[in-house]
Amino acid sequence: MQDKDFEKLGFKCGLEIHQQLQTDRKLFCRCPPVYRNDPPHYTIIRHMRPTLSEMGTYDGTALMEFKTKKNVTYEFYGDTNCSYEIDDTPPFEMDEKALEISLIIARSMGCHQVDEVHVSRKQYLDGTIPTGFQRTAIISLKGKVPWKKGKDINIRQISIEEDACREIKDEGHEVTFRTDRLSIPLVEVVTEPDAKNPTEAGEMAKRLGWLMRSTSQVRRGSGATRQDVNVSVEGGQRVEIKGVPSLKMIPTITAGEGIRQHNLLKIKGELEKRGLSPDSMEVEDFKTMVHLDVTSIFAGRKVDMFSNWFEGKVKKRSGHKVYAVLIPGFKGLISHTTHYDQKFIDELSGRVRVIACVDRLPNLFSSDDEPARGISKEDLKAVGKELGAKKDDAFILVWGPKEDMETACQEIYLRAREAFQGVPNETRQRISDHTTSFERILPGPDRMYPDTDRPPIVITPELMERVDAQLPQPWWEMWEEMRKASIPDHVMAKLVVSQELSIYKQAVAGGADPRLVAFTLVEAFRHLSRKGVNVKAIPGQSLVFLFNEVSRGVIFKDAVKRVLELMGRESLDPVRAIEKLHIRPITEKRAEKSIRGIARKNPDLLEMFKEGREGPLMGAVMKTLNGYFSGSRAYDIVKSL
Amino acid sequence: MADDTYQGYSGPALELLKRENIAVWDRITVTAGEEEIEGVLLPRSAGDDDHLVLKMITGYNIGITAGNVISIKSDGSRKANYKIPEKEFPFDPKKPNVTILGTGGTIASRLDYRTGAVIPAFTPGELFGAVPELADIANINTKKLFGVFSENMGPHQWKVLAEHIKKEIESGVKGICIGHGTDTMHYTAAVLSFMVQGSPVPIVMVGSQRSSDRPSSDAARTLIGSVNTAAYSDAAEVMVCMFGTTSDRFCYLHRGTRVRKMHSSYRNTFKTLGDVPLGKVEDGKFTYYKKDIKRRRDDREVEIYPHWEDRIAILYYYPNMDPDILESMIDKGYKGIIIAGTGLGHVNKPLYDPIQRAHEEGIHMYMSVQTLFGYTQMFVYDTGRDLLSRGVVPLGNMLPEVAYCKLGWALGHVQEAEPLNKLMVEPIAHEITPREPYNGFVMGQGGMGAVEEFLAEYN
Repeated sequence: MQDKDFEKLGFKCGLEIHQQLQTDRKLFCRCPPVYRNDPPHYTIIRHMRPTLSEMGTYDGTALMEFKTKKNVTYEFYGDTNCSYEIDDTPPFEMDEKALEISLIIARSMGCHQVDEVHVSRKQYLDGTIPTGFQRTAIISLKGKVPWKKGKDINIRQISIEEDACREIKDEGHEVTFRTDRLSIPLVEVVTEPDAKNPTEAGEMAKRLGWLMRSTSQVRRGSGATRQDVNVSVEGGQRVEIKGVPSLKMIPTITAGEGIRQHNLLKIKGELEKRGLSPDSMEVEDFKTMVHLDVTSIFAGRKVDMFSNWFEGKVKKRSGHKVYAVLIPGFKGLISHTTHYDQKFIDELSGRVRVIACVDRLPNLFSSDDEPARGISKEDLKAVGKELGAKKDDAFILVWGPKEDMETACQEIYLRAREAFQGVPNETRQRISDHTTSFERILPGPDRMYPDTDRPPIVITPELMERVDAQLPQPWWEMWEEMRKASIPDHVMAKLVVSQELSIYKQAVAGGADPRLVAFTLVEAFRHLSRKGVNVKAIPGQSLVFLFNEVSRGVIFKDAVKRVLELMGRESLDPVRAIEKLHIRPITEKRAEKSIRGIARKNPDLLEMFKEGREGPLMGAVMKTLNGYFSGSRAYDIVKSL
Repeated sequence: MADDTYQGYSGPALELLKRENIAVWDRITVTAGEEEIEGVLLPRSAGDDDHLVLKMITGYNIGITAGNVISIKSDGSRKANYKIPEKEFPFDPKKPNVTILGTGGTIASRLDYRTGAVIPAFTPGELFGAVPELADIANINTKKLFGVFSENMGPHQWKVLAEHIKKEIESGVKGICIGHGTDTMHYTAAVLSFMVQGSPVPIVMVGSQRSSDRPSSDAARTLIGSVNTAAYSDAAEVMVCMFGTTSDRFCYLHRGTRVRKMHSSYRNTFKTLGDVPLGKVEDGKFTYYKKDIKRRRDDREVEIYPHWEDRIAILYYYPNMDPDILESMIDKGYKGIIIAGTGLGHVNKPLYDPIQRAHEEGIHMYMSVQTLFGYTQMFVYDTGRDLLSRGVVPLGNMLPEVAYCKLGWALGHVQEAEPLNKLMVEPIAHEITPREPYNGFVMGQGGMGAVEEFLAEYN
């Protein structure tokens, strides 16, 4: 499908971009924001229970997550975690630097800061946060980022929040989280659904993501920026896809969701055409649900399909069972495509995986499927007969731990019934570069309640003065300037989002050659880093000084990389490094003498040069003169020979 | 009841609300600066005059400076119906009856927005709505005796509690739970250990360190543990049932006279000092660490001694303490003083004279140790012997707070020095133990795995 096809579907996409901030401590405690990969020092176990919201209601997600009955294990480290991270100490004051950076980002997106910041608790019962809620606060509302002709990106709100734990393992009813990432400060930027096609969704994410990075005060590296995308089509629902890790994936993932919603609406239409109604599927007490233990049909045989739970033969008496659920009138729809290689059965499968914790895949098989992997046509007939399935009915087989089968059947039935509404409200997770699967029911405002552990924070004029003094120039303006300086796109792309951007700005403002500075900070830095030179440790002021030495003619630009290498390797300042390398420029006269000598010694190369193959002779010349004399002047001299 | 139209608002913010005729819980649209913001006006916690608090549709709250508000429009009220779903508690004639006495603790609770405090949910129906697992354990009846925070518990409440315990026992319940704020839970536990003697059933104090308005609360688990203990445990003693580790694993049962809150916020804040806990309860199973347990009986007999003397104090000694403090206690007519001395039970020389004077004026003085662990040993050094000769009676390894509770209680019943001293030094409920076991001094007990495993690994 093309972008214009998505526009016809009424495709809409908004983003929630999470960006970790570069701070010295965590948001609500004084622990360092560092990731750990060594074995954890301690573990603790917790369980989460749903609680009432401030408005007196339970949140749907919270109840769903309670159904999963998970044992949550937290891993932590004696030296970089404290009792705050395991919810045994109330929060300390909010990190001021984090608030400042998040306000810089908010202002750079044209948002108005709130007068007073109130920390709220957003419930998460999946265990990602040991308290069971994330501390989060709105810092600003309603902004605009210029985008393209006639179109801005509209910002709905920006909040500051603590990051959640990293998931280490999730198997069945056991889930393990590591608390190292917990409470690292991040901003969440929420946009209006301004993207009308998948390509625009990608553009929006890039524009905003790069804008945040151009502050040079955000964290980089894997997981430091995470995008949640909200997609809907006409007649569909807002569906949130969590944690898209790279900009490149946004167009394919959002396109996939558009197609999925389009197909779910087709399924809905087909159900209506068949004259079916959700009223016949009762889901309060599941009185109308027909489901059976059908283990005995397969007992005594080795069924390859079930081998993820049944080792060897299927046994009637064991901790594992095969169940069947009747889905009346759904024949042919269970195998209906949803997006890419995903079918409607994968919608059911996702719910069973997450809520019933039957997470070894495949976990479902349907009467729409071709007999396979030890399930025969006769088996399906037998199951259908036991269920009393009629010609137009479909049924689903599910297998796994006995105690999870009831929940599994109910989830299948519930999700099948939701086909009548078309697109259910939910949060989805990425399972490949382009496909997604159920994660949880989309949480509502009912899971928010005030955090009473700390008083509200008034945003003072003094703080805003500090913030305004640090606003970055929009990267797209810089982009234009850099293009004028003939810096190629691939170098700009790296530079405008790099930590070295401020050095670039200072050096260029001081009169240095923008192209030299850009190439040095991007390309030379990359080469030298690969060679093991710690260029990142060179102070910014030394770099600016070095670039100025070039403009003042103290050294030639060709020598910059060699100076940097020595500065990095031996922790020297630029003056000492230049001295040590003996690379003060030589006079034109000496250079000419030297070039003539080389030409004399290599008459064959001079011949080639004159025939147009200039490389070999210039190479020999620059090998001697590099760093002492200008390359372009040397070329002129050779040419004049 | 106070008018809560403007709950918590004051100063310019209050004036604005009055002028615009806006009440708390109204759904409003505020125009401030260039913004138009919709939301519900929330009550305000005290301490600020300038800001309105708005709950927006997204669920987030923000504060808006009253002075920046250009206009407010109200669109009707949406008062929070903040209630724990109340369901009828199922009665099962086969299950034991347990009574939960409420003092105002935070077992099941909701938030009060003005103060940020936590209000308990307490009826059996509310408890069943919040912790349905309770119905699998016992038939529960609840009685709310007071609604006070634990720091406001005192002699009156202790006395009422003791009387209600007697009434419940006589009515035939199989066990009693007492919901209590954790700050002073160990004081109440100690007092009840003296006021209620010879109970035939368990008396279990319970609270929570994380209120039940948060998903990671310990409330449900401590409540389940304590109801299990009240209904089925064989120990007919006054106990505290709280988390044994910070993990959601098990609760320790601490004896009322040996337990102390040792951390301001950890879940496993309660520790048994100078001994190991009486036992633990995990998933309804009991493990007893002590052998000398008073066993559950079938009768309904219990003695209560609910009297109390108010004029007593703990004198926490520190180096360079001025004798004035003790002098003024004598002048003010105190009747008994628990000294929390250094080391084995010492104070400095300048205090000798007022101690001598107090003794002569008939003030009863007892020595406990501020080390919390270990015994008073006042014969080891001259200082100790000097104090003994001035009438200070050592209390062995009785904890200073427990000694305070015992003295207030004892003086309520006996005033003569000789029988009083006898009553103070003869243990009633393990407040002084004859010996301290090797594993009695473990600050980390329960914090790092079971006590024995910890000792095996680290000692």
